[in-house]
Amino acid sequence: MEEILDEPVSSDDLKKFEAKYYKELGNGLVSKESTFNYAWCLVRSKYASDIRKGILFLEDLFRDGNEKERRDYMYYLAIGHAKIREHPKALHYIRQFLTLEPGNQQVQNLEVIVKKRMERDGMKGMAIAGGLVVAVGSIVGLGLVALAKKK
Amino acid sequence: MARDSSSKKRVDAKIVIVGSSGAGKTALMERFVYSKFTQVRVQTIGATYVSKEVFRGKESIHLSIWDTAGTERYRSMMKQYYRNAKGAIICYDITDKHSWDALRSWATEIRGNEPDCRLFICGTKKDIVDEGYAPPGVHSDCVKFYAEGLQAPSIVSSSKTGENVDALFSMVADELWEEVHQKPLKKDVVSLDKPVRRNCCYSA
Repeated sequence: MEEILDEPVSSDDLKKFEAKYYKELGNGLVSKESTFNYAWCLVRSKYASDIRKGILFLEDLFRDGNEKERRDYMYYLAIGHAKIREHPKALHYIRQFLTLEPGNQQVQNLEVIVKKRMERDGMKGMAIAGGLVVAVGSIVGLGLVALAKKK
Repeated sequence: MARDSSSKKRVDAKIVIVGSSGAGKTALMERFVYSKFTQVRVQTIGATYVSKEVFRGKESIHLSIWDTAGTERYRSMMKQYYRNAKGAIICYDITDKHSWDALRSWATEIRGNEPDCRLFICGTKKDIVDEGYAPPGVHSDCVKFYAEGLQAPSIVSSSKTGENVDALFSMVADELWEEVHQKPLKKDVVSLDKPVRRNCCYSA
């Protein structure tokens, strides 16, 4: 199910919607649709800088959007944050969504994925910390041995 | 992933479910994958992904299913989901003529953009017509004629009762199965849709 976070946007699609957005921007009037399409491509990019840009667009859309549109923005805000491993923020949007639509299977599935990734990241953190303890312990141990030999 | 067992062959195939909003695409997917049906209608956002393995003796076919949103706001983006799909299930609500019109436009679009993608026509909500709650919105002969012209198999199903849902996906799996076995297999694993797997982290 994690494919939902790994599914990448093709660079052609990103360029297509980017061009449409900037064309409208040049004309002085950007439609909500073009902004959303561009943001939707950005958050599905493999580059964190694109994803962050997409999140900014979605935050703006969310602020100005009506209730019906907001569910889409919330969902992709959660996807974007999850992709750049800002899991607590992703969960924030997921929970906000689920208070409005508690039974939504699509968002419940996303919650499971995000929690799983969070756990995995936590384990990695613990493994690194554990490794450090062992390393420091070895150095201290070697130092003690050296000291004992000196005596 | 240990997929290279010498006695087993695994085939991956990307399937996409498309059709007009409210045609019952998600209900169809949920009935097939989770064996459940919920009456409450929830609009899909963008697309959801599920997978299911269908077995053929010792071999299996892994269906990667993208269930897409039918709402107009995602219409221009759907091409990204059916790209490289080996099969597309195009749904229409059998009680709704507009839904049938939408199916025809989907079929034309996918045929034009992905000529190798096999099309399957699925009429949904069979139970509503069977129980007499609504008349059919489109004549079955019309569907048959159109499907034949398209060389696409068609079926009418009910996600509520489960009727013909497994039959539909078996049909999809069988067709893809045949396609794979017509071609000589060079490797144990044949990827039909070349999924992009990425395990690395996204650097900030």
